[in-house]
Amino acid sequence: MNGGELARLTRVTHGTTVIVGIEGDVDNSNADAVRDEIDGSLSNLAFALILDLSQTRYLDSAGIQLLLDLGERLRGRGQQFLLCVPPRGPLRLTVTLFELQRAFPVTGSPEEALAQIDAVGASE
Amino acid sequence: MTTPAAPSALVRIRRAVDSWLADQRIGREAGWEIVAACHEACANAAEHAYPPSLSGSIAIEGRLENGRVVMSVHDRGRWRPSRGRNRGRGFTLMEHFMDKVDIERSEDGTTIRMERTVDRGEGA
Repeated sequence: MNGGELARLTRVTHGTTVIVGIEGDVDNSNADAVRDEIDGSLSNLAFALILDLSQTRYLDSAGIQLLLDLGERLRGRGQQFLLCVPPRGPLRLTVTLFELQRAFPVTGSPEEALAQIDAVGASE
Repeated sequence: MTTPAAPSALVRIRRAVDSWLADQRIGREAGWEIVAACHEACANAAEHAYPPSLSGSIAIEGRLENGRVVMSVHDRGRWRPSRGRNRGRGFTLMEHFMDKVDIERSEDGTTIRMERTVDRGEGA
Protein backbone atom coordinates (compact mmCIF):
# COMPACT_ATOMS: atom_id res chain seq x y z
CA MET A 1 0.00 0.00 0.00
CA ASN A 2 1.27 3.48 -0.75
CA GLY A 3 -0.31 6.71 0.57
CA GLY A 4 1.27 8.94 -2.01
CA GLU A 5 5.04 9.31 -2.08
CA LEU A 6 5.30 10.41 1.54
CA ALA A 7 3.66 7.52 3.32
CA ARG A 8 3.61 3.77 3.09
CA LEU A 9 0.67 1.89 4.51
CA THR A 10 0.84 -1.63 5.91
CA ARG A 11 -2.11 -3.92 6.55
CA VAL A 12 -2.43 -6.88 8.92
CA THR A 13 -5.59 -8.72 9.93
CA HIS A 14 -6.41 -10.29 13.31
CA GLY A 15 -9.67 -12.16 12.88
CA THR A 16 -12.22 -9.49 12.02
CA THR A 17 -9.93 -6.64 13.02
CA VAL A 18 -7.76 -4.84 10.46
CA ILE A 19 -4.58 -3.10 11.61
CA VAL A 20 -3.33 -0.42 9.23
CA GLY A 21 0.03 1.17 9.95
CA ILE A 22 1.27 4.42 8.43
CA GLU A 23 5.00 4.78 7.89
CA GLY A 24 6.16 8.26 6.91
CA ASP A 25 4.36 11.58 6.75
CA VAL A 26 0.69 12.54 6.50
CA ASP A 27 0.09 16.13 5.46
CA ASN A 28 -2.37 18.01 3.32
CA SER A 29 -0.57 16.93 0.16
CA ASN A 30 -1.33 13.23 0.70
CA ALA A 31 -4.13 13.06 3.31
CA ASP A 32 -6.76 12.30 0.64
CA ALA A 33 -4.65 9.49 -0.83
CA VAL A 34 -4.05 8.02 2.62
CA ARG A 35 -7.77 8.20 3.42
CA ASP A 36 -8.64 6.44 0.16
CA GLU A 37 -6.16 3.65 0.85
CA ILE A 38 -7.43 3.16 4.39
CA ASP A 39 -10.99 3.00 3.05
CA GLY A 40 -9.89 0.46 0.46
CA SER A 41 -8.27 -1.72 3.10
CA LEU A 42 -11.44 -2.19 5.09
CA SER A 43 -14.19 -4.55 4.00
CA ASN A 44 -17.74 -4.50 5.30
CA LEU A 45 -16.95 -7.71 7.16
CA ALA A 46 -14.32 -6.08 9.36
CA PHE A 47 -15.45 -5.50 12.92
CA ALA A 48 -12.79 -2.93 13.77
CA LEU A 49 -9.97 -0.85 12.37
CA ILE A 50 -6.84 -0.14 14.38
CA LEU A 51 -4.79 2.67 12.88
CA ASP A 52 -1.20 2.40 14.07
CA LEU A 53 0.81 5.64 14.01
CA SER A 54 3.87 4.25 15.80
CA GLN A 55 5.92 4.58 12.60
CA THR A 56 4.37 7.89 11.51
CA ARG A 57 6.96 10.62 11.40
CA TYR A 58 4.69 13.57 10.83
CA LEU A 59 0.97 14.34 11.04
CA ASP A 60 -0.40 17.82 10.35
CA SER A 61 -3.79 19.44 10.86
CA ALA A 62 -5.09 17.81 7.67
CA GLY A 63 -4.07 14.46 9.17
CA ILE A 64 -6.00 15.27 12.35
CA GLN A 65 -9.08 15.96 10.21
CA LEU A 66 -8.55 12.65 8.42
CA LEU A 67 -8.59 10.79 11.76
CA LEU A 68 -11.75 12.55 12.96
CA ASP A 69 -13.54 11.90 9.65
CA LEU A 70 -12.47 8.26 9.70
CA GLY A 71 -13.72 7.75 13.25
CA GLU A 72 -17.07 9.34 12.44
CA ARG A 73 -17.49 7.39 9.21
CA LEU A 74 -16.72 4.05 10.81
CA ARG A 75 -19.00 4.75 13.74
CA GLY A 76 -21.78 5.44 11.24
CA ARG A 77 -21.11 2.04 9.67
CA GLY A 78 -21.13 0.26 13.01
CA GLN A 79 -17.40 -0.46 12.90
CA GLN A 80 -14.99 0.30 15.73
CA PHE A 81 -12.07 2.64 15.22
CA LEU A 82 -9.08 2.69 17.54
CA LEU A 83 -5.96 4.83 17.20
CA CYS A 84 -2.47 3.79 18.33
CA VAL A 85 0.01 6.55 19.14
CA PRO A 86 3.22 6.06 21.14
CA PRO A 87 2.67 7.27 24.72
CA ARG A 88 5.49 9.77 24.38
CA GLY A 89 6.43 12.03 21.54
CA PRO A 90 5.11 14.85 19.43
CA LEU A 91 2.26 12.91 17.84
CA ARG A 92 0.84 12.08 21.25
CA LEU A 93 1.03 15.77 22.13
CA THR A 94 -0.91 16.67 18.97
CA VAL A 95 -3.53 13.98 19.60
CA THR A 96 -3.99 15.18 23.18
CA LEU A 97 -4.15 18.84 22.14
CA PHE A 98 -7.17 18.15 19.93
CA GLU A 99 -8.71 15.71 22.45
CA LEU A 100 -9.03 12.91 19.91
CA GLN A 101 -9.52 10.49 22.81
CA ARG A 102 -13.00 12.00 23.17
CA ALA A 103 -13.85 10.91 19.63
CA PHE A 104 -12.43 7.35 19.71
CA PRO A 105 -10.14 5.19 21.89
CA VAL A 106 -6.47 6.16 21.74
CA THR A 107 -4.06 3.43 22.82
CA GLY A 108 -0.30 3.12 23.05
CA SER A 109 0.12 0.03 20.89
CA PRO A 110 -1.81 -2.32 18.57
CA GLU A 111 -1.66 -4.99 21.29
CA GLU A 112 -3.37 -2.66 23.72
CA ALA A 113 -6.00 -1.83 21.10
CA LEU A 114 -6.65 -5.51 20.38
CA ALA A 115 -7.06 -6.15 24.11
CA GLN A 116 -9.65 -3.36 24.27
CA ILE A 117 -11.57 -4.87 21.37
CA ASP A 118 -11.46 -8.30 23.01
CA ALA A 119 -12.69 -6.83 26.28
CA VAL A 120 -15.63 -5.16 24.53
CA GLY A 121 -16.44 -8.37 22.66
CA ALA A 122 -16.32 -10.44 25.85
CA SER A 123 -18.70 -8.10 27.65
CA GLU A 124 -21.31 -8.25 24.87
CA MET B 1 14.25 29.81 1.20
CA THR B 2 11.53 30.49 -1.35
CA THR B 3 9.26 27.74 -2.67
CA PRO B 4 6.11 27.44 -4.75
CA ALA B 5 2.94 27.93 -2.70
CA ALA B 6 1.79 24.37 -3.22
CA PRO B 7 1.06 21.43 -0.91
CA SER B 8 3.66 19.38 -2.78
CA ALA B 9 6.37 21.80 -1.53
CA LEU B 10 5.54 21.30 2.14
CA VAL B 11 7.70 18.24 2.68
CA ARG B 12 10.73 20.04 1.27
CA ILE B 13 10.04 22.97 3.59
CA ARG B 14 9.82 20.64 6.59
CA ARG B 15 13.10 18.93 5.70
CA ALA B 16 14.87 22.27 5.17
CA VAL B 17 13.62 23.80 8.44
CA ASP B 18 14.46 20.60 10.31
CA SER B 19 17.98 20.61 8.88
CA TRP B 20 18.50 24.27 9.77
CA LEU B 21 17.31 23.70 13.34
CA ALA B 22 19.66 20.72 13.70
CA ASP B 23 22.51 22.93 12.50
CA GLN B 24 21.58 25.40 15.26
CA ARG B 25 21.76 22.51 17.80
CA ILE B 26 18.10 22.81 18.72
CA GLY B 27 16.78 19.74 20.57
CA ARG B 28 14.79 17.20 18.57
CA GLU B 29 11.51 17.65 20.42
CA ALA B 30 11.55 21.44 20.20
CA GLY B 31 12.74 21.13 16.61
CA TRP B 32 9.80 18.90 15.67
CA GLU B 33 7.38 21.41 17.16
CA ILE B 34 8.95 24.38 15.39
CA VAL B 35 8.88 22.47 12.11
CA ALA B 36 5.21 21.68 12.71
CA ALA B 37 4.36 25.34 13.37
CA CYS B 38 6.25 26.43 10.27
CA HIS B 39 4.54 23.73 8.21
CA GLU B 40 1.09 24.90 9.28
CA ALA B 41 1.93 28.51 8.41
CA CYS B 42 3.12 27.42 4.96
CA ALA B 43 0.14 25.09 4.47
CA ASN B 44 -2.19 28.00 5.19
CA ALA B 45 -0.37 30.15 2.65
CA ALA B 46 -0.45 27.36 0.07
CA GLU B 47 -4.16 26.86 0.62
CA HIS B 48 -5.48 30.37 1.10
CA ALA B 49 -3.11 33.00 -0.32
CA TYR B 50 -3.41 32.66 -4.08
CA PRO B 51 -6.20 32.04 -6.57
CA PRO B 52 -6.04 28.65 -8.31
CA SER B 53 -5.01 30.31 -11.56
CA LEU B 54 -1.93 31.93 -10.01
CA SER B 55 1.22 30.03 -9.06
CA GLY B 56 2.46 32.07 -6.11
CA SER B 57 5.40 31.61 -3.82
CA ILE B 58 6.18 31.39 -0.11
CA ALA B 59 9.34 32.80 1.47
CA ILE B 60 10.52 31.18 4.72
CA GLU B 61 13.18 32.71 6.89
CA GLY B 62 14.66 31.47 10.17
CA ARG B 63 16.87 33.36 12.60
CA LEU B 64 18.31 32.72 16.01
CA GLU B 65 18.13 35.84 18.19
CA ASN B 66 19.22 35.85 21.84
CA GLY B 67 18.15 32.28 22.51
CA ARG B 68 14.97 32.57 20.51
CA VAL B 69 14.11 30.97 17.19
CA VAL B 70 12.29 33.44 14.98
CA MET B 71 10.55 32.03 11.91
CA SER B 72 8.74 34.10 9.33
CA VAL B 73 6.57 32.86 6.49
CA HIS B 74 5.66 35.40 3.86
CA ASP B 75 3.40 35.20 0.84
CA ARG B 76 2.39 37.87 -1.65
CA GLY B 77 -1.24 36.86 -1.90
CA ARG B 78 -4.47 37.79 -0.19
CA TRP B 79 -5.91 35.17 2.11
CA ARG B 80 -9.35 33.83 1.55
CA PRO B 81 -11.19 33.19 4.83
CA SER B 82 -10.73 29.53 5.74
CA ARG B 83 -13.77 27.33 5.48
CA GLY B 84 -14.63 23.79 6.35
CA ARG B 85 -14.15 21.59 9.37
CA ASN B 86 -10.38 21.91 9.46
CA ARG B 87 -10.67 25.62 10.10
CA GLY B 88 -8.38 26.93 12.79
CA ARG B 89 -6.48 23.74 13.71
CA GLY B 90 -3.32 24.94 11.99
CA PHE B 91 -3.32 28.13 14.06
CA THR B 92 -4.01 26.15 17.21
CA LEU B 93 -0.87 24.11 16.50
CA MET B 94 1.21 27.20 15.73
CA GLU B 95 0.13 28.92 18.93
CA HIS B 96 0.64 25.79 21.00
CA PHE B 97 4.13 25.06 19.71
CA MET B 98 5.45 28.64 19.64
CA ASP B 99 5.60 31.32 22.34
CA LYS B 100 4.33 34.06 20.07
CA VAL B 101 2.56 34.13 16.70
CA ASP B 102 1.87 37.38 14.87
CA ILE B 103 0.07 37.79 11.57
CA GLU B 104 0.71 40.91 9.54
CA ARG B 105 -1.42 41.59 6.51
CA SER B 106 -0.54 44.33 4.05
CA GLU B 107 -0.83 45.22 0.37
CA ASP B 108 2.41 43.28 -0.05
CA GLY B 109 0.89 40.05 1.24
CA THR B 110 0.77 38.20 4.56
CA THR B 111 3.58 37.48 6.99
CA ILE B 112 3.30 35.04 9.86
CA ARG B 113 6.05 35.67 12.41
CA MET B 114 6.61 33.09 15.12
CA GLU B 115 9.02 33.04 18.04
CA ARG B 116 10.05 30.51 20.63
CA THR B 117 12.71 30.34 23.32
CA VAL B 118 14.98 27.33 22.80
CA ASP B 119 17.73 25.46 24.60
CA ARG B 120 20.66 24.73 22.35
CA GLY B 121 22.73 21.59 22.47
CA GLU B 122 20.21 19.14 23.96
CA GLY B 123 19.50 16.13 21.81
CA ALA B 124 21.46 17.54 18.89
